[in-house]
Amino acid sequence: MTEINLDKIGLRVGLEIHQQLLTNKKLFCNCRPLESDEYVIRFSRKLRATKSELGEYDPAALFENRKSKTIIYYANPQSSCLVEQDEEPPHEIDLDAINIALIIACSLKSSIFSEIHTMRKIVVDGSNTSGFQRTMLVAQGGYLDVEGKHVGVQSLCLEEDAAKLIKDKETERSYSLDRLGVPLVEIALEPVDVSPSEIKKIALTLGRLLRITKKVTRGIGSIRQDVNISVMGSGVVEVKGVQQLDQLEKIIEYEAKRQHGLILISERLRNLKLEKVLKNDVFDATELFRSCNSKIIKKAISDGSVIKSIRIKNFAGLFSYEPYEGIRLGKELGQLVRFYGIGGIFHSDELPNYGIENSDIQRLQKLLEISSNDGFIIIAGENSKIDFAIDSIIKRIEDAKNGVPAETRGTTPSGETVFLRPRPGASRMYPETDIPPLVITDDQIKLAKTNIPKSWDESLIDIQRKYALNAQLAEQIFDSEYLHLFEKICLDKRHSPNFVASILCSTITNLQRQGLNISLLKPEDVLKSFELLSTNKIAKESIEIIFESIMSNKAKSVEEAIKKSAITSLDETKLNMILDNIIHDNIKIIMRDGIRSLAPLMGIAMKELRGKVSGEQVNQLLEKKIQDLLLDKNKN
Amino acid sequence: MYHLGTRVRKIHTSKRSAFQTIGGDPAFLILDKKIQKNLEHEYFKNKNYSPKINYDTQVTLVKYYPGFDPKLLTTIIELGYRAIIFEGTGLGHIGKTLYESVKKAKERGLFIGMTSQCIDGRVRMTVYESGRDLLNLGVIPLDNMIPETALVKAMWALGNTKNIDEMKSLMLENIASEITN
Repeated sequence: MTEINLDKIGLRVGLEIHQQLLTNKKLFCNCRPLESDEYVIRFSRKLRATKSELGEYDPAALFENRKSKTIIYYANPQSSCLVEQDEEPPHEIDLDAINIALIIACSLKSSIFSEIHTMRKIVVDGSNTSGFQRTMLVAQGGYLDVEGKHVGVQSLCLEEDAAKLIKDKETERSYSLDRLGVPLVEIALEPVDVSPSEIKKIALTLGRLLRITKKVTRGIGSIRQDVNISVMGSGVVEVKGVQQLDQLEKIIEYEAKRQHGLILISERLRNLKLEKVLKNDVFDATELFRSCNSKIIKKAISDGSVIKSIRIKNFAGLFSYEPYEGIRLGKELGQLVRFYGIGGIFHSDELPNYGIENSDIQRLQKLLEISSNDGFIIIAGENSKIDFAIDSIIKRIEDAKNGVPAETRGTTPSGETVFLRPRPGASRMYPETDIPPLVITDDQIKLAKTNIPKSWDESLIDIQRKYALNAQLAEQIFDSEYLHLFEKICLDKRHSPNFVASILCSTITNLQRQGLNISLLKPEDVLKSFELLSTNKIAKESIEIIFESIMSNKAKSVEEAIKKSAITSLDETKLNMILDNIIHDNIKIIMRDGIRSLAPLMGIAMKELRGKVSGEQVNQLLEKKIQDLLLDKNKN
Repeated sequence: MYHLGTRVRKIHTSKRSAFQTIGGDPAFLILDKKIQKNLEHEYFKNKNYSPKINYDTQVTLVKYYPGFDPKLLTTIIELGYRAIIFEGTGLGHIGKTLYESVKKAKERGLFIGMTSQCIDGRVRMTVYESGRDLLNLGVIPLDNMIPETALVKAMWALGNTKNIDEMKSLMLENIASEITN
């Protein structure tokens, strides 16, 4: 195994960014883009792939169709209506969203089309009730300036966001309709041959260009990156849903390694001049395995699964050939079948193992009429699914001879990519017949041009001046999800912007790093906490305690968090009493150490008072009390 | 249950629940002997009204059906009517045979609005070709306004303005929940 040299494999990466727009209503109806806590409407659908109006099936659609899941939708009348339920045609396109898209197009110096045509893009994973996503090509061309270098823009589309996945089980998938129809722009950049770290810089620059318009939403899920990755001689692989920039580099590196690895595998396969695997290479081996001791096989048979085996001549050693660490054809095949609801496969290179013994293998080789030079796959599954999976395995082995198949992949938390579905073809797009073309007027473009925001650097200086923040905090707050919230909180002049910024940028991030769940902390909770602070109902220190309590799911609201953590603002008499008690209990230490006893006593006091009174106040009061005491002592 | 006049339809000839609110929730509910208000539109927050009690009855409500004789429409125009509210099929359609008469009506400056024969839902005239044809002829889609409401509103609008553009914007302005989300 060797280390990969990214410069020499012709790595090209194209970024595609999806950013939700900040509008008052959804793209095709008057519903407001809200997150609901409860859903009063529930309905279910089965989605089928149909031919597009051009008479063709989309491969990705057919693929999803084979899984035949029931889709359950949850809706709230506040955030969705009959349009989202696909019970009513779309209303007029929201002009606000169009205008924001035009501003973004202008700041990327893209050429805007004089007419916008809505298209339907087939999506049958159920994330759109209609089975398609509406998308409008708004502009093409232009460039993004990344530290002086120009990165070309391929296209800028205005789209409706998809429904949010809630649950995905074997036969059932659930979505919430809150997010369906929220406007978003999709910006596709030209593929570039730069290092993964430079790609991160490009993504950051584009993200910032969008954020300074102040017309885009923030928060987890409001911006998503897809990456198109290819190496020399490979098909383009689209990796979907990279949510964090830090993950981007890792994923590109992994994918580059995987693709180059697959090319190395394909070279070896081609040298062997293998025969094509055909249908008559598939055998039913259920009877043969009835006497097998493997627990997995036994369970499959008792569950009523059939067991089939595929023979592949001259394939011994090729499933486990590993040009780079973790890149094997066997692994690719295992991931592939999982998407047909099948747990995995066994291949000849990993056996005997998993309870499958030498004797089983010999009997299987006899059935398949093969020798130890040949390879085989064992697969178990329900009769209804297994043939689809076998077809896809045969196709994948054939594809392996050509290197990297074009496909759509997802990401794992560890920064790897996994097979999601075949890459959609051109037939997935067809015209939306319910919406007439929209003419973009010169006045609209003129207006957009006058609304191009200031540059990132200028915006930073503005915010630094306005709130007297240092450069680092200003950048942090601008890059964070909390700019709107920050500005809202700072409307109340009693707050120090520096304190607010550091709570939003570092305190919350720290809690997140400790593994707490940021999605539990709602903007209203943050606002409420600061409101309580400004009216002296809680101390500065309490804010972190409240957030911690909510983010660790110990409390559902600020009020509950306060109650549970026993945060109350103490009145002075009580505070004096507590401090007097502490002094009384520790009088010996004070007499011995004098004013130096302040530090240990502070520790004792804060244990009791944390979150109820600010540390500063306790410190002042305690110091005074000790000094008074010492003075008294000296007098005597 | 109390219904808004602009949204209520009598859906049964005799039942106690003959009246139903269409395309929204009832205006008031009585729960535990208490009246619960259910109206959220800005209009209902307004305490000061300056009623404009003018109306002009030269408006007619025309239900379209297959075989509708275009001469009927010509007669309406010749009788001097100022506005026609159509009760079209489905999303808001009438047959091609009426296009000529509709054109003539527009030339004479009549207001032509489209509602649906369906009990619930809104007209949407961009979906089918005939809808788009009618839009091009100048027919105004009236969203989910109930046909009878549209008729009365047109009479009122016509009583307050003779200018067709003003009438159009009055008809499309949601005044008293005659259009709902």
